[in-house]
Amino acid sequence: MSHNHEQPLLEVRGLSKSYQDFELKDVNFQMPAGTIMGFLGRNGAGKSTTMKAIMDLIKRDDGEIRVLGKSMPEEEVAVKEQVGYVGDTPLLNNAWTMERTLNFARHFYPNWNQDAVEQNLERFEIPRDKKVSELSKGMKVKASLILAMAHQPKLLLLDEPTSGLDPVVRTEVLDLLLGFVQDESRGVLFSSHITSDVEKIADWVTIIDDGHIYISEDKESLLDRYQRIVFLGSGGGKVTEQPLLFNCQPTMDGYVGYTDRFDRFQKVEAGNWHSERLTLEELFVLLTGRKGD
Amino acid sequence: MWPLVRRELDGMVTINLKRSFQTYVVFGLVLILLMWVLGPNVTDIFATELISLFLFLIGLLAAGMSLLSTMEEDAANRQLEFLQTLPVRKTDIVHAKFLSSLLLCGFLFVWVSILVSANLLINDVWTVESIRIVFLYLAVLMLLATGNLLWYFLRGSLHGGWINYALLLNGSVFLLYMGFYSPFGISKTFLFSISLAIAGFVYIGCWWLLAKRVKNKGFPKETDDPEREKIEKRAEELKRRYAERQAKKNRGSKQK
Repeated sequence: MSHNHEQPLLEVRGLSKSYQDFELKDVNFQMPAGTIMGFLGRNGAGKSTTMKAIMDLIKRDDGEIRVLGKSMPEEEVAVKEQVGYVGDTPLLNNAWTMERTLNFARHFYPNWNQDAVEQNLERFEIPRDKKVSELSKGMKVKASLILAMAHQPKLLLLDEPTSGLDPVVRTEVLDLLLGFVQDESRGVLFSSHITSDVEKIADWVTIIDDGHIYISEDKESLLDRYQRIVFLGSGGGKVTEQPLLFNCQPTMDGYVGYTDRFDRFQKVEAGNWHSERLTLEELFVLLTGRKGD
Repeated sequence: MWPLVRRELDGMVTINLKRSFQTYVVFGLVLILLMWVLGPNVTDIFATELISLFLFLIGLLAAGMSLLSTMEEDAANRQLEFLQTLPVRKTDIVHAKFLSSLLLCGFLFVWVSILVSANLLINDVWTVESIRIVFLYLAVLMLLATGNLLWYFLRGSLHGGWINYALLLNGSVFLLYMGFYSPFGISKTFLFSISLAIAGFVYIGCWWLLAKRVKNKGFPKETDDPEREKIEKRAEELKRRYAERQAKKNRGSKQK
């Protein structure tokens, strides 16, 4: 399947899904080719539900999903030939060996790359003849990734693949993903509540909270746009009235506030202030906390 | 499609020790029930018909347990979710399940027919009339498979074991009553033929209906239950904490 690089790898429009105690509300975002999109949200924010809806593992109530320009679920076979999915818990059969799992899965993919599989098995030291139940959690995640990448997909959907892994395995997994997007026509949608992982490898960030997409933007421009502004000295009253600031609070020697339009702010605001770039974690806490205000 | 069918067949022959033990317990209970129902006939324990009946029951149990074991293993390993990540249509998964169950029924039908024929031949009572009962057995097998698959695709694997045992019990009683007695004075040829026709119709009808339902509404709760996921995540977290505690303990004892 050839793919036009101008076309988004993934488009989600108006996705909705209701459960008894949770609702995914009008989820909209799109993912350009050649990117790793970090899909951030607290536990229970709707990350897994969105991922599953994209894969049509759950039936959505409303909305439209297009992967590589093809509509899901109408063209699900063609789409899934180009998509690799790793769930929040590995979907490997514990009673099977890795060898058997790979031999089974290869029947379904015309693009199956056995050489890449062999290389990855060796690289991650995954025993092919051990039952999956005998593998550690880290090994299961790596084995799932090898399986998901074996058919050279254009899009990888990874639902919290690094949660519960030790730092060494996490780094290995993240390196694998970075290697995967060396080919500019590919992309990774990577859900996590570990902001440091997303900060490390993602170039696009989507934040979901309480079933609602809060922001979906290029990571660098997002971190450029949102800044912490530190005012030194008096004049707090004036600061709190500044319309481009929010969450203003007094400090020992002045005031601190946040802006989501730093470009504009620095043009209009003179005075004794300096800006600080936020980490993704700070931004995440700020945004998901601010939403409730 | 064929790899899916093969996977199902492989799952059916995988031996689950816990499940096998349960099978023998159920079989023992059914045997006791039958002896009670059969009454005086049981005194002649090696009667040709009784041996045939036991062969049918063993065949039914084998079918029920094979179906159950593949469904339970799939649910325990979230294989329904895994299969949906592969480039196959959801309906292919349903077709593979029904087709493999049909093959299982066919396989057991052939084997049990051979064994029952051998039993009748050894006892020198083989006639075309006496062997017709295998078609009733095939009908019961198909109804047993239909019941199990219907429950699995409508409700998931939860309580699937109880449904299977209930179906087995009903199937055994039905087979015994219709096959070894002559209820309502109806000709056995007619009775067996109509049973097989109804079973075939029900099997194909449910196959068609469930494929349609899965296409429109997806699979049942296995992959669509946030509550179950929460419980699983909690279990995973507890396991991780336990492993951490054990590792700390081990480190402590090594240092000592």
